Amino acid sequence: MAVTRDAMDDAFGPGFLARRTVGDWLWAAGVPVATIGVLLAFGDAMGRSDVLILLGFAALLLPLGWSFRALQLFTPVVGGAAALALLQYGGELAAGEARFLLVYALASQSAIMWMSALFVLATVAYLAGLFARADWVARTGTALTWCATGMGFTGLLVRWHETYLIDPAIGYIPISNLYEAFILFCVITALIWLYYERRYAVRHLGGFVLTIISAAVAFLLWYSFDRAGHEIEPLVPALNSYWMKIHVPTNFIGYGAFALAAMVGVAYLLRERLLRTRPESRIANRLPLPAVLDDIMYKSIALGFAFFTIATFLGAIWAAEAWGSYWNWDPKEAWALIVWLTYAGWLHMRLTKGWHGAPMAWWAVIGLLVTAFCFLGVNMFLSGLHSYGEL
Amino acid sequence: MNLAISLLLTLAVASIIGTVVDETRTYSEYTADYGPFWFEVFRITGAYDVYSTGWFLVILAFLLVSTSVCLVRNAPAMLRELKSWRANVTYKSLQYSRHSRSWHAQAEPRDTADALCTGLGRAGYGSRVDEGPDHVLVTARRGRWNRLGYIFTHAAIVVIAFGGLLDSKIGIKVANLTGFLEVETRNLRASQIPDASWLPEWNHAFRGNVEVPEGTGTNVAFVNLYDGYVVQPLPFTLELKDFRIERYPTGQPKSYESDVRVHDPELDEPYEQTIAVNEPLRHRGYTVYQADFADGGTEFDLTAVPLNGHEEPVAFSGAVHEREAFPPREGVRIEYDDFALFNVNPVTREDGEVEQRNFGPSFDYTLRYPDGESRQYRNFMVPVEREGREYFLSGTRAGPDDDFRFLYIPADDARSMDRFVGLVERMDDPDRVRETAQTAVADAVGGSELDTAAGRAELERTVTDLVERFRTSGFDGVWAVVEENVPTDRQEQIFQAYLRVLQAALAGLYEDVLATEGVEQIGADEWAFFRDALTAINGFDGYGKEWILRLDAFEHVQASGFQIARAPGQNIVYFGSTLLIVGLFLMFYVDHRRLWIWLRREGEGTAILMAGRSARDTLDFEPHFHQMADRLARGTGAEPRSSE
Repeated sequence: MAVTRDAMDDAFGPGFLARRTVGDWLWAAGVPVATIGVLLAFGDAMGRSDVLILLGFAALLLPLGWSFRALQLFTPVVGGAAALALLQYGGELAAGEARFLLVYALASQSAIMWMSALFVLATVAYLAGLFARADWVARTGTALTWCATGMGFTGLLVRWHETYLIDPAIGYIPISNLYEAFILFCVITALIWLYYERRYAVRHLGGFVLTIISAAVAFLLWYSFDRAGHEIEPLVPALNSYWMKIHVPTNFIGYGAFALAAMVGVAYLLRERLLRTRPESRIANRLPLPAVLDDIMYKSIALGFAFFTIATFLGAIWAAEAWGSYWNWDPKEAWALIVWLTYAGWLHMRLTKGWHGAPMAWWAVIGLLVTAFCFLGVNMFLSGLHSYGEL
Repeated sequence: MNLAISLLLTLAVASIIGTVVDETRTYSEYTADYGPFWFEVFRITGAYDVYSTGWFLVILAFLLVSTSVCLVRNAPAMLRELKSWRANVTYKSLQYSRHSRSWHAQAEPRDTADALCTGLGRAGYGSRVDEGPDHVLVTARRGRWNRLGYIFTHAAIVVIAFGGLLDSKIGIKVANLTGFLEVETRNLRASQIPDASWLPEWNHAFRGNVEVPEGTGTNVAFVNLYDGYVVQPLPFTLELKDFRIERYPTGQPKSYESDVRVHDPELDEPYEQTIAVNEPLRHRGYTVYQADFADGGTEFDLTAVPLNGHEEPVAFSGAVHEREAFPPREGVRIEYDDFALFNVNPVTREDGEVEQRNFGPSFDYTLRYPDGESRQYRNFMVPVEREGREYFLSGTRAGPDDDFRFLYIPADDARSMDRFVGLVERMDDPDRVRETAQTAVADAVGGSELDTAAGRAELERTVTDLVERFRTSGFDGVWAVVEENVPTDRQEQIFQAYLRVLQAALAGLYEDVLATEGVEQIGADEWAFFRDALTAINGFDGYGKEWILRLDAFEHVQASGFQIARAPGQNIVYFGSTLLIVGLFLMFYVDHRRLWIWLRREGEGTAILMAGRSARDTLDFEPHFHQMADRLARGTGAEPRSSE
């Protein structure tokens, strides 16, 4: 009966492409335009692998912007700020200490300081939002997190340019030492959080997630002021490879997602404890329901695990090229395996045994300790091939 | 399944142990670190090589077996689940399903089923229609490839482990255990190594190292095993033509590169390629990596400059890695240890900024004395600037565990050691010392009550003695003279007086040196040189020898350290990893969802019952199910009758 079929079409509404908004189409047009712009501006300095990585990145950005629409505004703002900084520099490193806009906002050091301050403020706002009656307090937290993330990404992009300004021979992508890695960790964790915040409408978790980011910021500041970690040093030969551009960010999606899962686990445990002692506790009742927390924890660990696996595989291919073997049982590799096993165990518990709730939350928290050791402890206490960011 | 989780965690803990002990060092370093008892304990438990000990492999094997068993047991069910429509459901089972909805449609069952299939198709579901005696059943499914995720991930673990096993040292270790292969611990040339330590050329998996000096070639690699090595012959010869270090403007190394030529009987003619870090050479299943570099026998022209003043400089030549008699001195042997073309060190400038500065070439050598004593030295070829003045640096230490202590020998206007050596020579010339002692004494006591012939002679002897003491033992020697001869309460006073007269005497010698050089005006620079010279002479005592070696010229010969590997399992491991990643994405991001829609004629229209199930029970499914039900209901032209 044709009539029913038409009715069915109406019921299901327009198809995928017809549901795209104006923003979606602007995004679809903007990503290739921006990519071509980058190629025109920096093509001379880019090798074949750089071009391929750029194209791959653009190809990933397209669906990402369609499923996470906030990026449609965020990306051009960050790109614009970085472009403005480059124009201000005008090819002279010294401009970074002379031009107002660079000194106070966009030079990488300034942008990173802004990022740090804004992340701490965002943490405060989110936590205050947990207690406050007014909704705008926690909303401020979201806005501040966006601003901080924007400053962080801008800072990294500008720093990338600065390494080339020091000397074109030195130029490298700023994700190669501990200082830069921490910035990357902050912004990636924040971005994953912002996605889940919108997706699950769980703003009140912000204080928990931002706490771990603030802890990273604290380390970053100490590392920068006490150890001069922000100094730009040329890369050691083994790091001089295009693999770094893929291996490191992939790894940090893993670390970021694991950190987020752990903090959701903390929220879960805290909520449970509060409700046991004071069932009317406002904070506990403001936190999302256990089923939601549980689901976010699972999604986040699944995301982290998938990307961590990819990163380890990419690392293995890189290791085969640089060190002569895809697996050297180097401390970093061994710890990557330990992290992997920890979360493989978590996922088994969840998927095959159907475990939920507090034990899984505890496991996620312990998982973060293991991850933190892999990320930081290995550099501090163990030596090996990965000894790039020594403390 | 509990077994799998316990194994995962056991393996994690076992891996931790391996990271506690640094796995890359030698047995002698371990002994030095842990002492003989713990060294033995760690050796027996395999702590130096945890990842290839029996117990670690047993855990791995357990995990492998458990994974395989799981796979064999569950894969058929997974595949059935993948293929099946699960159309053999009953009305009751749907009714009691966790997610279910029912409504009434206008059209008769058959047409309604057609419409439902259209809607399901729009939502990405595949569907099929079964007609029963009194009902029509629409079954729909989506994302069934999720089931492959399980098979892929678990198969991947088995594949990766298999590939890893192929590339492991197990074959070599078994050969060693069964007595077919002996570990060589001595430092020998390849040609001298006994046959028992040679691996067969067909050995399919190994990872060895070899150092090739420029202008030579190799057709073997050395595979480390326990506290020694075994030799792996290669079916080709790798010749090193040139090794370079590319540097950043700041002097730090940017890349290490080797130009090599590959000679292989299977090739018509040799070919050339450049190997760099991150850019290995691949040849017939062998991969050659830039791993390391060293000195390949740099040749030196040296002059031994005497510090004792009464011998002539001796010129001779040597090369890194050579050991021979030390030409200027009978019975002493010299070993040329190393050479460095660049020495980039951080230097704090006057404005507080730290900059990287190149100190130029340096060479290391060891002198061995007949009494068994030995000292290591590191000398720089050209003078190094410090606070505006230039010095020849010569460091010394007793052994590799100590730091070098550097002697700063001031360079003269011609950037040579001549002026300094001239001063030392004169300090050893008794006639000149007596003359200068006379002048110094005359200046010091002239006209005083001590000024008698006997007093002068006595004082002159003392000054001569002081010069000798200072030359051999520095200021400490002068102090020793004071301690021997002077009551405690006057020691400090006499010491100061001695220093003044000693300095006056040495200044006399120094003026003499300058005069022969033709320097007449003695300015601040010259006096600064004098103070530096005294500081350097004061340091002779710890320097421990009478000669300083000056590097006049060198011919730099480098050696490139290659790692040569054959890893047939590598592609298997890569394939397994890809399988793992694909599997993970299928598991996490493809959800296997099923819908059942039971249609029964009811009056003119159709009574509909819909139920659903998701393989992964996440929060997403419930809203999805109700959205589907809403839409399907609207599409069949009915308001939902009830909802649970």
